[in-house]
Parts: sequence; C-alpha cells; structure tokens
Amino acid sequence: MDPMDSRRITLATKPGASLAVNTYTPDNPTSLPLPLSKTLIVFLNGLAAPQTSWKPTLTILLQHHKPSLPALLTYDRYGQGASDPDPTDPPDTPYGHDADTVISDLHQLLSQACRDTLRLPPPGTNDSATTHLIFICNSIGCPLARLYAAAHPGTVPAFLFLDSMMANSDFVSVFPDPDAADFDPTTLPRDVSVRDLRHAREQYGARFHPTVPNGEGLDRRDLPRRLPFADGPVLPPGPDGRPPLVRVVGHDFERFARDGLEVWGSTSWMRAMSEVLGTDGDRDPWLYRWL
Amino acid sequence: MAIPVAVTMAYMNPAWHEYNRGLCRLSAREGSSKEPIVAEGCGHLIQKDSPEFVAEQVVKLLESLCDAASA
Repeated sequence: MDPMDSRRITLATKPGASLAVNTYTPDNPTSLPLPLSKTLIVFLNGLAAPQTSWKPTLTILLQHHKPSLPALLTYDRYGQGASDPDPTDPPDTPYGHDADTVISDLHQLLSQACRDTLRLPPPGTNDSATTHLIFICNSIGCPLARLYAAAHPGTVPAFLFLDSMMANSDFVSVFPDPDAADFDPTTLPRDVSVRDLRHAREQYGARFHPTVPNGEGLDRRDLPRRLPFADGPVLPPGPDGRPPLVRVVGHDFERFARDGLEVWGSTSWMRAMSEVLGTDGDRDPWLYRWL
Repeated sequence: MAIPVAVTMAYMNPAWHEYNRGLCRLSAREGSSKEPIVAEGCGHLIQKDSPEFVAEQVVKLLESLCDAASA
C-alpha cells in the first residue's frame, strides 16, 4: 500500500477549485526523535516539474528512513500538475497571481492539512505548540520558501535549496551585451562568439525573463524586487530562536551545460509562448486566446 | 538551436554558482552550508536526476536538526 495519502483539498478561502495534495502521517509521531514529532516536511516544486517529481525521493525516504521520518506533504500549486487553475486569476491576462498569493495559499493549505489530515497543530501561530516546517525546494520553490519564512518568522527551522532559481536575475544580463558601448569582443573566451552571446541572450530572455508568463499563471515580475539579493533579506530565526539550518545544492556544471534549456525550461507551452511574445507580447490578443 | 556548452560554462554556471554562494550567507547557523554542495551528474531538476542524492540530503538535514535539539 502506498504510504502517501492522495487527496484533493479545497481551500476555505478559494471555493470552486481544488489542489492535488499528497501527505504522509507517521503511525506513531511521539516515537520520533525530538523535534520531529511536531515537524512537517513540505516539498516546493519548481515551475517545470510538479509534485510527481518528488515521488522517487519519497519512495526512498519511506523505504529506508521511516523510523525517523516526520509528516510529509507535496502539492501542485494552482495551475500546475493535477491541481485546478487559481479560481481568482483574472481572465484577461497571463499574469494570474503573484508569489504573495502563492504563499498565502500555501499557508491556508498547510493550516487545513494539519488540522484535517496530519493531526498536527497549524503552523505559523508563533507559540510553542506550532508545527515546524522544513522546506525541500527546487528552482522557484526556493524563493517561495524564503518569502513564506519571512512572512512567518519562528516557523521554519530548516531549508534544502535544490538549484534555486536566481530570483534577482533577468537571466539576460548574465551574458555580456554585444551592443553595449563598452563591449570588447577581444575579452570573449576563444570558443564563444558574438553570435553565441546574442543567441543565449535571446533564448534566456524569451524563456526566463521575469516578464515571461507561464502556464501556471504565476507572475514572477516582482521577484527581483522582493528578493533583491541572493544573500538577503536574511532568513528569520526558526522555532528555537536561532537562525535556520540551510543546505544549498547546485547543479553539476557540465551536465547543466549539456542539457541546454530543453530539459528544464522548455515545455511545449513555453516554446509556444516564446514564439508569440514579441516586445509587446503581454498585450498580444492571440496570446490571451491561446491561454 | 541549443545554447553552446562553452557559453553556459563561461557565463551561466559561474553566475548561478555565485548566486548559490550568496544563499549560503542567508543564515549564520552553524551546520549550514558554507559553500554550495554540487549535485554530481545532476541538471536543474535535481530530484529527477538523483532522488538518492536528495533523500540523503533530507536525512542529513533531519539529523542535524535532531543533533542541535539534543545538544
């Protein structure tokens, strides 16, 4: 029997749509080492890989580490994977909802799941009975975890960041601009041409610039303002009043370079979107029809 | 057309690594990463490329938390 419990949860704050959620509740939480009896591990997806991407990891954890495993939760955000679209998204724009909406929805989801399913007190109540949250996150899940923790200090004792999205980057200016006044082609590595630079800037711009919409309706445009630095704003203290534990993992350089953009950034909707997005793309009526 | 490997190696990888180094400064907690851990053989979707690695990282995180609580 699958130890994960699969269900759909309708948020009290957003009737008319449901989220696909998977949870694991330990059989005997009081036998867990402290402080795990009052801990929930929450997995936060990137844009490109929904909650199904965590399944193999969960299988390993549940097979080999069950005696020390606290409660677990994976979910698809509105508009992602098996969840419904956000019922409050305005119909006339691809920028449906922002990161703040995602984290308040997440907070509501966790409160309901703790109460109704996980037999845990709600998180973020700022008292000693509150449930501690550990965030395991990939890509844009990492900036979302930072924003959640900032909104609920004293709640998150630990983070695992798996190749965090660069929340403060436009992904274009990472590459030198061949049209800049101070551009000096003699400084380029021998195996990089001006044409290569233009191509990389164009491709990253079309797929990852914060203004590029996504099928989920998650508006990324204000992320550089919300999280202006990789190292700031610093994370708030965890439940013990001390700074949280943070493990930072990055991709393998060569594997990532070999993958190119197809693997992580180019689902069919992204490709189609980048084709229709010109400089005036966010006002293109065709895009609205297509979405 | 794909992004040439040399372009990613020269610009995107160093920028991303520097970003990850910044994330390591988000918390002064002892036991946190001082430098980014590189997930060998993994692309951006680390949990897809090596669930074993991710499971191991989760276990290490839990162990560190329990150690700190009992210290």
